[in-house]
Amino acid sequence: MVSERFLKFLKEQARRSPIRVDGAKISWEDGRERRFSSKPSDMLGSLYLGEKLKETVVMERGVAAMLKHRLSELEKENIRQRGTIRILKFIIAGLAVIIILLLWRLFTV
Amino acid sequence: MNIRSKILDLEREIKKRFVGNEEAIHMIVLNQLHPRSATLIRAPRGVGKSTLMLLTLKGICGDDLVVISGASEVKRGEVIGRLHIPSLEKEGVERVLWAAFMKAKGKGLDEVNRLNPYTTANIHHMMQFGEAWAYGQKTGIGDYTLVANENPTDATSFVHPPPFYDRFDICVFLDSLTLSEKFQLQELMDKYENNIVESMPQVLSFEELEEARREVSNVDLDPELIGYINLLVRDFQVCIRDKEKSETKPPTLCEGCHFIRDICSAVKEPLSERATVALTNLAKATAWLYGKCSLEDIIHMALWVLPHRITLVRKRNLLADLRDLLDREIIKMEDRRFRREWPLLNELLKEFNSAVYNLAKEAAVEDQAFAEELIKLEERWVKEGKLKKEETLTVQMGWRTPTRWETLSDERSRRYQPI
Repeated sequence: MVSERFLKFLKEQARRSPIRVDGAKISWEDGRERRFSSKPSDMLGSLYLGEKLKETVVMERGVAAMLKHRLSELEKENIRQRGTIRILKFIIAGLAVIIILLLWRLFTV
Repeated sequence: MNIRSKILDLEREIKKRFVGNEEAIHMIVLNQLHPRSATLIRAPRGVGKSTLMLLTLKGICGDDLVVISGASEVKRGEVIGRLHIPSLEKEGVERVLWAAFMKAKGKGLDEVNRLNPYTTANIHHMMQFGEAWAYGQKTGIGDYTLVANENPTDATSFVHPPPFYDRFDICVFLDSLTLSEKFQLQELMDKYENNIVESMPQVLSFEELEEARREVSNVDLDPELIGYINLLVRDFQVCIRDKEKSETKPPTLCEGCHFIRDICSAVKEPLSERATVALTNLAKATAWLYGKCSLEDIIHMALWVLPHRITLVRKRNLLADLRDLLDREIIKMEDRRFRREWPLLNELLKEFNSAVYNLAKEAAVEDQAFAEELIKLEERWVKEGKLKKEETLTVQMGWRTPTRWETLSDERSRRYQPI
């Protein structure tokens, strides 16, 4: 059984934020006023010092540009490393072939 | 002068004599406005816990106050009562002389953390049942106001059980004085010739306070406000993995949980229902005293209702951590409004509509308190054949909820019908 007060609470909420139900269609107007602060969060403190971030993060333009630059640098570094890995893979494959050939010669001759 | 003015006057008189900590004083005064009020003041030594306790009690009860000190040797006879020896010797009758602490309207407990467990147990019983027992005899305590203080970090502390602390409506923390406040205190000491407590007048009689308490209890709170209070407390209790009954507690219990980033994962031991009662009393007192009470007021007051009732997973700075969680709670309530959760539930309570249900299901995946209510409805719809069990949130998300047990008990009650 649903409490009268709970029903009143739901009705009050429905009155304040009405929704329109028309069969399978539901609609409402979004009058949301976000109360998030426009004060920048200490993003760098969170990244480098492990400080806890709040639910919503607001970033200064400078911090965002720095992060963007850092990301692009990391991407470049990533591409460089992938190139190195590819070369190393070829070397490993070549060495493996040489080892197999040497072993084959050792046991057959 | 009407009673409201006298209550405001009480706050003013205390603030005149106590430097800083204005919010704590405001909360203490607000907490006096319901029967058998109990306030706990926590602070390090020398910050003024005892002074604030005495100022409050003197302002309400004048000289009708008794303070039990945990720092001294407390005997049962001083707290509860003792036998009247002449009656026993001459008439062979056991007559109990009830202690002044039991009779006084103003009760003070100094340094609760140092009270021995026996005294604490007696006071716990008095707070719970409003009565005291000694030598097989009982006495009713009637209405009173109790103010206690403690410094739990003292080395000589007893660890009192959580249910004892739960019986205190609020727990306020005092800050040490800033530089300018130290000057203010020195001026005050000079003004009152080092007798700050002695200078405190009785601002209102206890009968007037009782009248105020009656008026406050008759205040009808807005259903929306009651809803917010219940929701706030529920958000600090709810756990999809049922932490209340689980042997494993967060954070271990939360590993791999869908709600790992929710408020619930920060709470180790959840709130008791007394938090709801305390918040409702404070909301009624605010509405009575100022003519209004808002969601912001509720969140603000929650900071003083929660700290002694809750155990958090990470213990750094309790008040700062609680402030963080309450900030998250505000965002959560905003999100609920944005998702139209309660209007959707309102529609679903009227009748089942698959489009509304699908939207509600999406919201429920992010909100346990809402999910609980939706799951209850799902069970009804499954029984009525409006919904298949495989389509329900419980099955789709793989959640085990205590409501499952209700279904089992329903089956059992059907099987065991009385002959």
